[in-house]
Amino acid sequence: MSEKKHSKIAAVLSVIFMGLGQIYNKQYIKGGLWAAFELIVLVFFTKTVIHGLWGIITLGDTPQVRQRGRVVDPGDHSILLMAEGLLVIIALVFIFTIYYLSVRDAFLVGKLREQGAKINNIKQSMKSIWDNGFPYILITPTAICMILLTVFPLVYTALIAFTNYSSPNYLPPKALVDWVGLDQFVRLFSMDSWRGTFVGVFSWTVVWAVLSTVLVVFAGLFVAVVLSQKVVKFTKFWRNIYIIPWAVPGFVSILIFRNMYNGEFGVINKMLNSVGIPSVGWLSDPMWAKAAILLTNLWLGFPFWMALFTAVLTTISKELYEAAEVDGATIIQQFKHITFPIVMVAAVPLMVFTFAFNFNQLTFIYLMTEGNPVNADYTYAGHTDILLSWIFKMTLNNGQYAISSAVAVVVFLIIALFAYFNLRNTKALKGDAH
Amino acid sequence: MKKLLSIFLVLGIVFTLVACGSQDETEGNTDTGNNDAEDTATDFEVVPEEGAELTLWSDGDQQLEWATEVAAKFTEEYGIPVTVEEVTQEEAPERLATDGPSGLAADVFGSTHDRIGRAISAGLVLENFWPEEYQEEFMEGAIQATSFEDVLYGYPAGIETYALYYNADLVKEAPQTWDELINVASELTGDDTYGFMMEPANFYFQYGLVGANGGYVFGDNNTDVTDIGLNNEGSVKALEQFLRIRDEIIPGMKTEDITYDVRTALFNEGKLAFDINGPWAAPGYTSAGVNYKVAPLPTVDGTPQSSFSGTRGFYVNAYTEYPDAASLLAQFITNEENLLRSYEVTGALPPRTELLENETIKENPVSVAFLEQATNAVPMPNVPEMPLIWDPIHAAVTDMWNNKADVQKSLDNAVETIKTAISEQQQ
Repeated sequence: MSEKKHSKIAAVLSVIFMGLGQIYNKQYIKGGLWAAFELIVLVFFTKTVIHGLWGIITLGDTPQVRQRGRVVDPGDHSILLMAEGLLVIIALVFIFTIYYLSVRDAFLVGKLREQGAKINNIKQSMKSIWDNGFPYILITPTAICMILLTVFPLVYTALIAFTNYSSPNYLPPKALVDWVGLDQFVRLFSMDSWRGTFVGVFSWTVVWAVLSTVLVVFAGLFVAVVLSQKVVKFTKFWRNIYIIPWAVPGFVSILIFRNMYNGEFGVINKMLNSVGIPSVGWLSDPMWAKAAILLTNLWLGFPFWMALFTAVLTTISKELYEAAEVDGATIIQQFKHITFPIVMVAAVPLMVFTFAFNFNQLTFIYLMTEGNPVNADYTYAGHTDILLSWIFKMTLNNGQYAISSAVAVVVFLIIALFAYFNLRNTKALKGDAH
Repeated sequence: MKKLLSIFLVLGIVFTLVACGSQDETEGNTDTGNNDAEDTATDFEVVPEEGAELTLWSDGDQQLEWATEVAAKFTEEYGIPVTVEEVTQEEAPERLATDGPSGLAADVFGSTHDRIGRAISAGLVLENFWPEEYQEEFMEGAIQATSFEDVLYGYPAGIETYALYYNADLVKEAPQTWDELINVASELTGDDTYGFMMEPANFYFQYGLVGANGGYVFGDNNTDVTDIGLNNEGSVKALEQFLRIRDEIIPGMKTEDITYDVRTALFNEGKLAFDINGPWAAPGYTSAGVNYKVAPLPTVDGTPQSSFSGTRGFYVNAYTEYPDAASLLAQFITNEENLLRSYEVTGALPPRTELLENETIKENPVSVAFLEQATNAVPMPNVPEMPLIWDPIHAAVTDMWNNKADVQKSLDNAVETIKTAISEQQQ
């Protein structure tokens, strides 16, 4: 047995059973701890792991059995089995990470022995873990909570897109749910009714997200710049007035707006009529309904941007403007070459987030129009439905959980790609402004 | 600093593990307490389980008041503690899907019958243990509404349908026929007063006309989903009659402008003479000080309108640990005495045939009118395909109302959409 092979032998031993490599390396206590960990896992969790993996792979095999109105055998609840299986997989990833660390540790200590260096005893090991691994130890509880509270639900929702979980034939516990691979996505793009609706709803969603974002940003910028001019009196008063829409709970104001837009009884048409303009079908004409939505969103959304830009404007040094005036630049030119580029550095990342948020602005659309006016050519969607409100209607009213989940996955991919490419190109997140 | 942090850390990890541990206790062999079900499956006697404790979900307001009262009586009689929680009847079936299997749902809950179909087809609801008795003692409509594939699941507690409210200051007596209603209403319509309006976008209220003309939703008493009658001759005729509201009373009004809120507000202000609405609207009209009366819906060509009826029922959660005690509670809630009390507290019409002859109910003209309408009512279908109906029909009626689209064509189109949706649901 040559002295050169310690690292490999220790690593192989650790692969066979956690801690063996360390014991070979004469780190008995450390090895004992690793081994104890694996023993605990094997003794207490084997059943859970096997059951969890069986559950997520098969999604159960016995449906509910009843006799004379009583449940005799509760059967397997596919969706719960899927959740349990997912938790088991997350736990396994964690366990295998620890496994890998033990093998790596054995290998490294073996290397040290080959080089003839002194091996740490348990006290030194502990100290080195505490010193080197401190940040990792610190972040562990947060990481565990984050995995359970965000990663787990997201993956779980995405997984449903690959099953046939839907009303009326595949609802647990009475019936079992099965994995169907990419079928739901294929259906989404191949079935006529879905496809026609998807394209129409998707294009309006994009239009809505872009326009709503751009409108509020530029309205906010316009008001902020105007209010920052020296010629404007009572700036404080104007600013407070414009902040009001932001301060009122949106829920309430949207519902009030809905009544104001009413074609027959609404205040807006009555005002228009009183100055001789004929009534507009605010909520009944598809185009005007979209306009009404954008206008209301503008009213609700611009105060935030006004406040933001007001703050950014105060950071621009006055000397720049003075220098520009000396050079004979007009107000417009000053805006174009000084104000605009500077405020945009701050605004672009937020605009990306606003876009993503508006893309999924379910509450607003739902409260404002419920997706109406109806479109006879769509399946369960109206002219003003965005993707998410369409998903919402489908899931809630029709119990089509699987295909809804598939749409959600598609939406997520779109948003994620958009946000990724946009944010990658913004200066703000590169850490240097120039 | 590090020492302090390490203490916090250990605490933090312990908490995290404890918090996660409690989540993970869904081990393979969950015991749902159904072991005794096998023993009693042969001799079918319902005896409350030892140590049973029940939870009851009830709608809010007066419903909750009544449920709490009845739960207390039940505890007195059987010695079984009952906790009453407020969960609306619209929400309950949806919550059951998630809370039932995880053991967090109530043992007995109230639900409207048109929302329960999905929960029943998912196997989340136990059957009614005394179907023969219930079929004998309850209105047929209520039994039909709470049954699913010919098996009775529910314990009916209240039946509701809509009827014709009229403002007695504007109208002397209720019109008997649809023609009469349209004529009287068009005469009463002025600059800002209206005779009558109905929401085009609400098929629930339009169904009275459809049924009277021989239209139907699904064939074979609303159970055969392969047969949709919403574009047959009767349905087309019904919608043509419905469109007379637009042509003769309120021309130029768009679908989106006529909402439930608009018409109730107008009726409250005394600017609307007729309103077709359910018993739930009565308290609001009373508190607004409207001098209203209620009559059965006007007839169409001599046939009474078959309005949709909704039955509020109580159901037993399939995951209950105490199926017998829970079923006894559901039975107790819907016994004669308690349903009469329910009428006194909440105004809900009891679907027990005995109670229809009760003096307390007979003294109230509003209840009598609704009950009279209820005898002609058709229970809203409770099959899981029913939710697929509303949107396409709503779209079709909107198209005819706003854009004068052809009635037959729009309905054909809607039925096509519904059929596609149903077949796609089957996967």
